[in-house]
Amino acid sequence: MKLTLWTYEGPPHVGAMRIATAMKDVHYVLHAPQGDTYADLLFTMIERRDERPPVTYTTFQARDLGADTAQLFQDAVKDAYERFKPKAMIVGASCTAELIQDDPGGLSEALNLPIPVIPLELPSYQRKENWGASETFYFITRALAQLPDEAATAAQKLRPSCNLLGATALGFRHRDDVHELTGLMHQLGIDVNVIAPWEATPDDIARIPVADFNVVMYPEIADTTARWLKRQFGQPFTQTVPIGVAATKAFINEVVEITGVDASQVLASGVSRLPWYSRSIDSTYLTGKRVFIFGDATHVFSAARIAHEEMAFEVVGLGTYSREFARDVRALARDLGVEALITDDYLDVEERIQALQPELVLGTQMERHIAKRLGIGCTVISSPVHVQDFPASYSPQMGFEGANTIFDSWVHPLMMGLEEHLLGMFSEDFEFGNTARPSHLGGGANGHEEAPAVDGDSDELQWSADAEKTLSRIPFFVRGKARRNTETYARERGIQTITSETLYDAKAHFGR
Amino acid sequence: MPSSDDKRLLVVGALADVVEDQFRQLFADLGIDTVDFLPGQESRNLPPVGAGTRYLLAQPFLTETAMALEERGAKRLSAPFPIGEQGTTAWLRAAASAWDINARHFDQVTAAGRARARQSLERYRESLGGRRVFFFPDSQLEVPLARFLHDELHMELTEVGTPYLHREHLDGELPRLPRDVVLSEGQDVERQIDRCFDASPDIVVCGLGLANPFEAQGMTTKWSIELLFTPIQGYEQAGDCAELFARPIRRREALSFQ
Repeated sequence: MKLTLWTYEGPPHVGAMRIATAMKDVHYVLHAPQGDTYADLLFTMIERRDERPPVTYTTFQARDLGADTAQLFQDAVKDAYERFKPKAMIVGASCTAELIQDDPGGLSEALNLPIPVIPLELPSYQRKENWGASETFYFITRALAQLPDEAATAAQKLRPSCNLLGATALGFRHRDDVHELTGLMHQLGIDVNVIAPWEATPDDIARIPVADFNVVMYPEIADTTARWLKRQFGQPFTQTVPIGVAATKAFINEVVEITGVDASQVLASGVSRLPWYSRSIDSTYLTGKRVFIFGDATHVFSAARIAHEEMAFEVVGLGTYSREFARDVRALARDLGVEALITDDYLDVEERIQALQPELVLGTQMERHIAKRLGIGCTVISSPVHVQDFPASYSPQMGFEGANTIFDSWVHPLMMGLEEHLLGMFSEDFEFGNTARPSHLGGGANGHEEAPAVDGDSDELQWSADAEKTLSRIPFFVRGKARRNTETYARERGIQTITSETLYDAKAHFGR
Repeated sequence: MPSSDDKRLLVVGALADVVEDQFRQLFADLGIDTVDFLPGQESRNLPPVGAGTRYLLAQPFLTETAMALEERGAKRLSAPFPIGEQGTTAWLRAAASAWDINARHFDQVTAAGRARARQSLERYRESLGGRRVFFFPDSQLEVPLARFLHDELHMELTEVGTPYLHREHLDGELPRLPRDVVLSEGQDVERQIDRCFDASPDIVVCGLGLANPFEAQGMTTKWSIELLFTPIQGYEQAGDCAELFARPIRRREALSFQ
């Protein structure tokens, strides 16, 4: 076990909380010590939820450990049932409680409550939050989903129908993605049967098998459940996550193949502005911008494709903390000619970002902090996120409107083409001086200087005064790259003192 | 502006500091030590001008400035504009000749810069060579740019439109254009747009008012004002100038929404 200040994912029981909190009429009794109640504030503070998560903690204390913690647990389940009157309950243990081996499942079964009580087995020390959410959704669906009767199936035949699976509490833009996909389905003439776990009741879960197919919105959460539904009820499910213009089109085509609906009108109406915005001339300056991407696998996949094909950025590095999808992310990285970083240690990510010196970082809350410290622009594209990434405005990632949001939010931290030129032209001006911090990254004079090259031993290399002067003439947003390229060039040729000539030789050698 | 009849070289036209530094160094290495830039980096220090002043234009839109300088006795050195390896060399050579600099010394001083410029242009010749370019009138930089794109990147010129053709100031440029080039001055924009579609060039150089509408109709464009903002003069910037034309083409090829 490793101590850390911060993690991308919490323990699996936090994933279970995300499912319970997303649903209605479900209560979660968590056998947990007092300290574990901190998790409530993730939902009430960060997501600004106006209700406490539907979670009862047994909150045993050190002195209880010698006594009957099993009784404590049973009392907590009984009390929770009476107070909250849920239509289903889930029970489990947090990492600490797992060690006392009280068997929450068996204990609650013995109570004979008149509602389904679903025990969770979430090994806390091998697995993490997204896996916990996925397992919880799977256990709940397996326990509650029912074979549809003929009347329900007949009523369903009028129009094709689907379920939207995977949206949870604390998800990145899940609220708006659900809204966007619901709208898209209506445009396609497809009914949305159940949305789950987002605002679903246990009765809704029971109706899931009625629909013709499932939409897997977030594979981290819904893939396991969708596979089980396919095995059990023969429901096909979609493979494409509709984030980005091309992916949304591919998703629509998948839906057409499953249902046979006519999507030509939806596809022809050209509903995203991203392609035109990306082609229009102010975007020329986006070409080849160096971008680093990190987050959960779903959002990293989508972001890499959009960055490469729809924005014409250069993806200089990518990675994920979703170990379950490490193989896929490695393959993606190989396709783009970069090395994948699979880690849940943010210090590794910081080191990689510093070494690559990208112009834009697409990441989680932690990459936002890292980029800010390094003076690099950043847009958040994946959980975990902080309170500002639960925006008041409609900001989906999925569908055609999601593509619009993505264009705007990715371009925002970068400078406009014209702005770059003005900064270059007025580099002697006090506001734009060579040591001034880029105004779009917080401003203020005498902020950071560009980070020195990290690889190799730069102590051997001397910069002559005229070379330093020439370097200072180069606009700040390319200065770091110019310094690195020149030092690489000098090292390769055994040059010890870098002059202006060396800098220009390196420029001619590497090109822009 | 102080007056002086001493033999001095005056470089006329707003240049980026980095370009001015490079030219100062080259003139010093050539042995021309009385060089002024107008405008200089500090507006308070105006250079002396008089009968001994020989001036090089660094921009092609300085008719009024040139007239004022001539009134004070200054003489223009005929040269192409310092864009591209060849343009820069001919521009420097005009000064070197006026100062009787020995040809071998000139070659020695300019060799490294010329080699770097050729090296950086080499990679763009692959992507731009043989592509067809159409100029709409905008910045008056059209003629020197057309010459550079044609001579050094082997692009094909369909039409070179310019708002005003100053034949005297362009006397170093016009003879270098291909004999059959279509030059147009001023112009009826509607008819020029028709000609542009007929020519269906690979890239259209035009103002910001036309660029996005052209892009929307499938044309690749380079907005001309960027050629004014970006340091494109001199050896070390030759590749940057080519990049401005290569990037829109590269972008269109890179984008995919399928």
